[in-house]
Amino acid sequence: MKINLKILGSAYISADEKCDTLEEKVLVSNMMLRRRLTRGARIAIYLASKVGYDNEKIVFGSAYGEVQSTVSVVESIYNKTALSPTAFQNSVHNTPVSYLSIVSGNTAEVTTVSDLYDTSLSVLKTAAIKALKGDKVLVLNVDAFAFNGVEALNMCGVSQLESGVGLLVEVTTDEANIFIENRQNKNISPSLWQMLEVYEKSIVHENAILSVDV
Amino acid sequence: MITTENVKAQLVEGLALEDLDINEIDDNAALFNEGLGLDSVDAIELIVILDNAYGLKFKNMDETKHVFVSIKTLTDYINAHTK
Amino acid sequence: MLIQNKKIYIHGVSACCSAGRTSENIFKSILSGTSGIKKYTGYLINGEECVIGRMDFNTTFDTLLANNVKEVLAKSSLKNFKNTLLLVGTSVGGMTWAEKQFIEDDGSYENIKLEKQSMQSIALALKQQFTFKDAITFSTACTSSSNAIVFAKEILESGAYTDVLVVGADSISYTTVNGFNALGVLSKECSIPFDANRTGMNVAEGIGVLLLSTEPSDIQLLGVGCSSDAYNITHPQPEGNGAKLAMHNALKDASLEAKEIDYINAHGTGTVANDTSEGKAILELFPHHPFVGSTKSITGHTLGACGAIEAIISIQVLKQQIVPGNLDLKTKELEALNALKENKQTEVNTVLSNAFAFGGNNVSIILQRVVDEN
Repeated sequence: MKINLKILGSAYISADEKCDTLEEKVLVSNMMLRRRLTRGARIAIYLASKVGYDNEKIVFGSAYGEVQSTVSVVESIYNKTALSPTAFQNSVHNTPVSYLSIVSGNTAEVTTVSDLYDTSLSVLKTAAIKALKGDKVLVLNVDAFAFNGVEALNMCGVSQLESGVGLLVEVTTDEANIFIENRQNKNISPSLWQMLEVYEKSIVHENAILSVDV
Repeated sequence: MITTENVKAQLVEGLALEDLDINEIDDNAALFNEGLGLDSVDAIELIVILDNAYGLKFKNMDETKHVFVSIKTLTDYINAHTK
Repeated sequence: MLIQNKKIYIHGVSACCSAGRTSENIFKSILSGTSGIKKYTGYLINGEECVIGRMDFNTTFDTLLANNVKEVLAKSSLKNFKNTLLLVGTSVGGMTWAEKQFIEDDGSYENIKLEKQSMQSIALALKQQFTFKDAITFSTACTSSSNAIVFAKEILESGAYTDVLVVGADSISYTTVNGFNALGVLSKECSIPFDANRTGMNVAEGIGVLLLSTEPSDIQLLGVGCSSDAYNITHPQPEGNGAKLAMHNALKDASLEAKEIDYINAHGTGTVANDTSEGKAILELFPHHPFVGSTKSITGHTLGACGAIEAIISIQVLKQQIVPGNLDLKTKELEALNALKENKQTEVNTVLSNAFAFGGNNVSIILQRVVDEN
């Protein structure tokens, strides 16, 4: 079944190691809250601010989740050192959008999907169904996986260890002009390819309408 | 002997107190709620920091009540319980 | 705008956890007050014992999972799952395997295969044995399989599918046991939700599988509701505002008034924070005092699987017309909360089930038994 989504706003950011233009101090002025934000949370908050987010319901996807927090927990367990409660509470996959909802005071529905290299497609399918009720949906796909053992796991030889795409969408009956052709980008994790393709195509259309096959 | 400056530096790093100038932290100001404004998760983190840095252990949160008052009380406790 | 007016039903279900290997046995344990929670060593970093709900069935987690899915297929009118959407809800994914591998390899990541470590690992394992049309994995900590149930309803209503299989699955990991311990919320005993003297929760593992369909059956998924606390990353909003909003949204989705709820299967973890905020939310939203209960003193907190497992427990309540008592409840913290100490055989037509997660993610679902008008 195909659902058409109007792309009201789109944004993309990526970096070899660390995105350094995330405007955190402006977007999260409360230092005591900002200090706990994970890399994924900072990127999610940045992307939301660039697509016209205004406390819509949120669909988020991350293939690898909160890598640094997870690694910190597992290494504490292995080394038998006391475990940081902050690292544990930050290690769940929905952490970035939980922080986004806290920072923006958003009490709407927030959901997170995670399907490794299929994450991008899962995010789009989930968002398309969530958009059917007529509300706008914030769609985010972020993977930030720099950590001390990353070489061992970077089978695809991805060079950009932090990437994220954000879209603000709304269901529409208008004809689609963006179709997913599974474009690849060897520098970015495969878990973001389809969302990145949508972003790239959305910026060349004045009225970008995406077709999602659920 | 650990100084209050050492402890402040450890707190800023361990609790990720971004951009906080060590010189701005008053030795006698409250750590929790007012003053520095730390919360209950910070209290647990502090126990983790003290365990990993000095091998100090607390059986429960009640034991921390008189220790986690200010930078000064924390520093005094560390010095009293380590060699 | 594009939602068709479809009713959503639940067909076959299958579950296992420390309290039982089948959904019937789990419910028997609940009614007889036989908890699956026990003491174990070898989990906590500090060497102490922990009190958790482990499945000691001499079978691997993957085998149990496959058996649960097979059971649901056998109970259904489907020949296979070729046109069925698989929705998994998990918060641990393959971390239990990954931790063991990491420790065995002396702290090296070299043998960590992402397909086995990731959240998708549950779906990938099931795809080895069954063919599905497609699969999506939800991972929102303790509301993971609840969010899968929400999405199942939405995608069935859209007409994109007529059958959806929801699988909630979380195994016990060093991460979760030590993590909740680090937060100071693990109890050293079996949890007593809603009790004034409760001391925390018990981490547990479990699997819950439900087949949802637009084809009629005797149990209808009448409504679902979600919300966010927008308050704190670990603590719920103290007055239960997020919980209230999720329950309110579920009632709205079901076109029901609050007084039509007969029993609330609470999230009721046994932690000070959850039970107070959830209890307050229930009292404010349901002034007619429906029965309230938590079964986590029997099953433990099965984390990402709890939404699916407790939906299945709620279905047992509807089928057997019995409200379970709350094990070992002595002094209620909130006197007005209608939490029974003993089981009660009584008419139950509509059950509301809650799940709340880290970061303030809240989901409520409403199940109703379909009574033949004739």
